[in-house]
Amino acid sequence: MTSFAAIPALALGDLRDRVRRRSFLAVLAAAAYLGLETIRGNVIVAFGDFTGGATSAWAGTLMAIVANSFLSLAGFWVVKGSIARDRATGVGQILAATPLTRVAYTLSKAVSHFLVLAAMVGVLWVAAVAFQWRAPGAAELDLGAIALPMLLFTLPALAVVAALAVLFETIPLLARGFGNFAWLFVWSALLVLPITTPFFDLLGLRHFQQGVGAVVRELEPAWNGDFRITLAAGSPPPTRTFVWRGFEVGDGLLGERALALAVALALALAAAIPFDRFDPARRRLRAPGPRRSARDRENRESAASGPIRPPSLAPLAPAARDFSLLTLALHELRVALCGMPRWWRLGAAVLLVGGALAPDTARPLWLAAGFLWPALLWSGLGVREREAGVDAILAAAPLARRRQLPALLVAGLLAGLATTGGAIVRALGSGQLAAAAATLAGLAAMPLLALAFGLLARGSRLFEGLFIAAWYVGPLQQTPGFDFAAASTAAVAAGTPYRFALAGAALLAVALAVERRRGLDGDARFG
Amino acid sequence: MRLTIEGLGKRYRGGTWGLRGVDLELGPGVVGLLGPNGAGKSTLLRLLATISRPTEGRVLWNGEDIVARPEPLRRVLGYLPQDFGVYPNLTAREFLAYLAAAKGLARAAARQRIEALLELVALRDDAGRPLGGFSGGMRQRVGIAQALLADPQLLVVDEPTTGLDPEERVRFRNLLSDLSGERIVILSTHIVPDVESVATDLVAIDHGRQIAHDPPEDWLAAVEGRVWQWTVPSAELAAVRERFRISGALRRAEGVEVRAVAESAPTPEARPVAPTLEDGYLWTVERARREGRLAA
Repeated sequence: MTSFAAIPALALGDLRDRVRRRSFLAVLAAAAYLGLETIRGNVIVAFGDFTGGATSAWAGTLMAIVANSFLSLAGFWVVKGSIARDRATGVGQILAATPLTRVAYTLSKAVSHFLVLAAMVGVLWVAAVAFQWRAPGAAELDLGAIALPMLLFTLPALAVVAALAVLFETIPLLARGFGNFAWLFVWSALLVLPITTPFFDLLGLRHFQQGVGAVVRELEPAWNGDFRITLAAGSPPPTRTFVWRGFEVGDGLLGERALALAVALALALAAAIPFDRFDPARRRLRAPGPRRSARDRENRESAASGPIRPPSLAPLAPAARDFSLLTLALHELRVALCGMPRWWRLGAAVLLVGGALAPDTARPLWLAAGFLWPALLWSGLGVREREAGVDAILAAAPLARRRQLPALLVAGLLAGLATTGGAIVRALGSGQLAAAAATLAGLAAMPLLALAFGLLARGSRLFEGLFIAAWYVGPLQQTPGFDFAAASTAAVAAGTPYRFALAGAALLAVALAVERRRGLDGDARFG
Repeated sequence: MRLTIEGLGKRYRGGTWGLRGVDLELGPGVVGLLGPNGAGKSTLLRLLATISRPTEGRVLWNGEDIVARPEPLRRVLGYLPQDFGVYPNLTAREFLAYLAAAKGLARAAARQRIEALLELVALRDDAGRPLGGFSGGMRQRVGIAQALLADPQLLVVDEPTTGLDPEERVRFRNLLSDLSGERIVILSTHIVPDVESVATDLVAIDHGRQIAHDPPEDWLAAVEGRVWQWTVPSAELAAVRERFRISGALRRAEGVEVRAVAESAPTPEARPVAPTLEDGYLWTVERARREGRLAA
């Protein structure tokens, strides 16, 4: 079998592994929920004051718009991580020892990612059929017309997302949490740039705006091009409807969507370039400092070959047992920091000092940055020990998690204070006690939420995805209900950070209960 | 100190029993836990290390149930899992300091203990290097060091010699021998020579069932006069392997010298030889299978 002939088999194997996980059901359930919320009118797609009437073409287009907007964002986080799993399980090294080429491997991963995303699109297609079926005064049900926008726009867009997920995973800097955060900005650019500039429309949103917009313009020549996808809670629903008969599928449109598929293919191929083929020698580890290197060299030079009879080990005095929460918290912080590049500390120092010196008008920006910087330290809480395989050793320690969980929370708080401490001190100094207290509450909320999501999902991506979306809407855009950093006075007044802290505490309690339940089935990490 | 195991069993999701009906009474010394791959050794050790909870039966540490009250045991427990990981960006010294903090050791005492352990496992020279650059054997030695951090009274080590070179294996066996005086050491392995020189007690498990718990001398006595050796042409080796339980084969100029465990001489040329513990282990497993003691 040639390397390329193996791609379907590899993709299928990877897909089987995924669909047999419980998390896959959760992913499909999330897609179903998205479809349901759209059917119920809680996701609004509006062109000015217009939305589509109940035709099959609109049902399909509506779901395609929703999928291209939301699935393209969340789908990336859903599929990313498959190469890391191959690395962790050792399957990667077995594959690396076969004639399989890097290109075939990255292509097979992209195909597998795409199939997972396509399954989610399938759920939305069913939702679109339901939407059309239950709509009052609906036109005739046309399954093909419902499917067409998804085939034309959603699947090529998600092919690009699938390929980008592979590319991110093969670039060391983007492979882990940083890449998960960076995706929000890449996705925003892919979404917005084609609407405001001639940038190639990979996600297809411009087609929706211009294609459907042409019908709107016939009804309302003064329509200013306003096209929005919002949650019902955040904006009033459109009051007028248009009749959408569907896209005219011409060579130009087909060619453009085929080009999107070609871009996806090119990205998947490009992913093979930085892919390390599971060679651990190509992974960068923290280098020992100069002092340590010299000491090691000295030791090595003075060391003779070790004796067969080991030196004896003195018994440990009873007084040697003296647990310190702060000591363990500092060790947890060190474990977290060790996975970060050296410039992380420099950035934290800049944020700490800058937050203390910046004028009050710049406070929101410093706080937003101060909350984003330690997010990768938070996202590993409750996850690192499992990923590193240290969990069984820790579980056998006295009072295991009852000691470790508070230490993790303290470590998370310290990480947050390292970047926002300056801004908090400045707020205290200028008498803004409520703002400082709210920011502290927000800081406490992050480790609580990170730990809870980490324990529940047994991974960091769920927290990373939710955090970056909430951070974008909250501290950055200063939407009061999401501003957990208390960057705006409205968020301080609304008590948003306290709500996040309470939610974090409650969610952690749920996560611990779930862990305990899991423990009854096997592991006893909280015994 | 006393470790009592009564009717211990563990059923996994899907209804499969990984372990069933284990009864042991253990005091200070080295217990060699032997069994083929998948026999249930690691399951038993995870139960003893309070990582998993038993489905039936109980484990008592000095008379206290370790499920109801795991802390008295955990305070004096050292555990080396079969598959364990490390934080690749921490140095060996930092990693041990982290685990010492988790085990509740005071900083000064932990520092001293870590240096002594690094010396003990011959890693002092590499203690400042990130663990991600360590070989499998070096990582295993870090694992052994962490298991000894809290001066355990019960040391549970699962396949501890995996990845160790011959010299390290000898060093580890000597270490276990030195440690065993005032503590219980439970060492799981499927490599009989690993326990041959150090074990004071042997436990055999197969298909999740305890099939023996004896001193090593009993296993040797049981197989005395039942170990045979003879030479066969190379071409006949496969056929001989099918007919007899071969415990060893050595290529010679005149053919292959085979060693088998059997009730009576397998061939007229076979001559009885002195048994080893490996022969005793094979005989014990064989006899249990023959007597149907492994049926669930």
